[in-house]
Amino acid sequence: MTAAMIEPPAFTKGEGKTLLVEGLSVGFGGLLALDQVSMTALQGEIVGVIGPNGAGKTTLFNIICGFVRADSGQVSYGGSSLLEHHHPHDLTKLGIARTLQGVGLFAGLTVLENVMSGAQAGLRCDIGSAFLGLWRSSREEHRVAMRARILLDDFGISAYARYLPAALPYAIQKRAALARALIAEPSLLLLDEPASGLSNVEMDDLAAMIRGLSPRMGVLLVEHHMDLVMSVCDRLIVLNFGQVIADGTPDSIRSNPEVATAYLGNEVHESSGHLQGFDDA
Amino acid sequence: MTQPGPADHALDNISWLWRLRLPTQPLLRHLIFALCGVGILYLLTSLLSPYNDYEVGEIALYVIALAGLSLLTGMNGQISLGNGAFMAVGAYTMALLMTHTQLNFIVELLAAIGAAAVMGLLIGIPATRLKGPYLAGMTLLFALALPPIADKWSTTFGGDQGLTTTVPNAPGNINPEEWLAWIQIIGALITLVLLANLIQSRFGRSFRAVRDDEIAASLTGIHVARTKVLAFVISAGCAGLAGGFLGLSTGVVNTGEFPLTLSIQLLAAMVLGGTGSLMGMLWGAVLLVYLPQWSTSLSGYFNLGSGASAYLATIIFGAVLIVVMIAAPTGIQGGLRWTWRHISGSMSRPGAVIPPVSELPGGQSPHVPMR
Repeated sequence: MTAAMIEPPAFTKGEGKTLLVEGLSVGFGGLLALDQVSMTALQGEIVGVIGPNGAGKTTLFNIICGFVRADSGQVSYGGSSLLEHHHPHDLTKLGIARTLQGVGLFAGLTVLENVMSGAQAGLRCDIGSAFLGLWRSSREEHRVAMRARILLDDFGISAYARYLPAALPYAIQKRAALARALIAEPSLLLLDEPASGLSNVEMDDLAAMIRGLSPRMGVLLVEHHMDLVMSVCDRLIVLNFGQVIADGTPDSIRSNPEVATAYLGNEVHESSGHLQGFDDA
Repeated sequence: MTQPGPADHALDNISWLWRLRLPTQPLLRHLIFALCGVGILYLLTSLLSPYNDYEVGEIALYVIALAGLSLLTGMNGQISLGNGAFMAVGAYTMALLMTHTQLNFIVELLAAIGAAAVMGLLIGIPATRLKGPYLAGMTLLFALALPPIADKWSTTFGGDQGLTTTVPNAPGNINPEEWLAWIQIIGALITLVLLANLIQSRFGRSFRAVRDDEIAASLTGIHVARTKVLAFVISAGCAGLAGGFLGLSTGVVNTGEFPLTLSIQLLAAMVLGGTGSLMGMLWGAVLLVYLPQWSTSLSGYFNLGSGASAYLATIIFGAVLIVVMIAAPTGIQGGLRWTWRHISGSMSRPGAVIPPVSELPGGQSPHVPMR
């Protein structure tokens, strides 16, 4: 972690893990959800994936995570393919963590246990030690609990460590879900609509938090709130009907007429709702 | 804010109890509980009559079966109506070894656990693809299909007569009922300690994570299918040991001891005790052993015919189930916990209180996780 701060970002030396998507296509029935999608996300880069509803953003995430199989194309991260023999539970081993739309916390686990569960892939205790309750098991548990508590402190929610998620306000649950993803210390974090349901103030907190992640890990962000996406991302990829229609810096995307048409159709000049960001530009 | 946060509150209210800290190491803590159990039960069995000792042993063996089921259903969210059949597998394995070999008694019991666990593996693998009622249906089929096998090869499995079992000789002049009860009690305590340890490990967390949200669980790196199969294997292993012990209690192993109703009663007793809890299985086991007796004496009191008395146990069981589910949906153990929480005034249990929104730390400074 400290090494990453002193040295220049790792990807400039070619050591960094890059997410590479090439010519990715997938269809559901007759509908092409993704059509020849190509994109990259370099290490430490915050990339936003935006587009109207049904553009294929979540499908892209689901293919990366191994929930959906692609028809053709290539997806790789750090040189290893994410298509063949790729399962969701392998994801954390590759250094990828994902938050789910909504909250996706485990309802029967306390906030602390939820965050601890994010580190599950890194735990090595064998079943024999677990059955016998040997130090090998309890020491590991203790360490994970400590790491989770530190993370809860960082997120300002350590007071809620012992509560079940359902009893807590939405914003607290969202933070816990983020903490659960971060405890795995991923090199790439996939955020699926992290701002949904948050107030403006909470969204500012979130934006600062995401920006703070960037030297250590890449972030791939699917989000509808343009303000957040525009202020946080280094680069934006715009999907529409399963195709990449634009790829560039937030400024270039703002002034891209094709993007505006995709979002607003013929009513380019009538702004509404969360698309305000386009007009503020 | 004058009102303390939840954590402080807990410390304020029952600090006297909190200072009596048990060791945080699971094995040590659970061994302390087990040793307390040994002490209490030693007094109990030495005071009780041989017949009551026999009942204590039966409670112990049902605790084992219910604990395994509680892990599978309560912790991992898989319903099984086949655990009575896993008990049969364990019982027949032990009885066959007793009939044909001169192996050590402990080895025979371990073989009973192993055989049931292997059967659990075979049932558990397809079970990972099924949920809720479909899973219940599949395990039900397993429970239905097993007894005819024993009837078909009646020369091997002893047919209706079944196979006889022998309890190893009691040391000294301990009476045999007490000795058998102690074998079963020790088995139950060891099982409970092992399961309690497991529940507090990463495996226990995996079980519950998979139960709550399979997609989120897989994203945290948990192999969902493997976790579910593991729960099935452990549950079946527990049932195997319980089945072996049941065979010892009855002295004979035949298909009549493992009817379909056994599996259903196990499930009902688990729900009554408190799904997902280990301690609650004690209450479930007590009900399993004593409810039939109470109903028999009740029908005798009301001069009911033998036909009516046969059904009375089932009726009472169902009625108790309904009452408990209305009064305490989390079972007897959940009801006891709730009561204890209100007596002690503790708010430390997860989900006990919804914290006031005004106390939220959110919305101030950005909290960037940096370590």
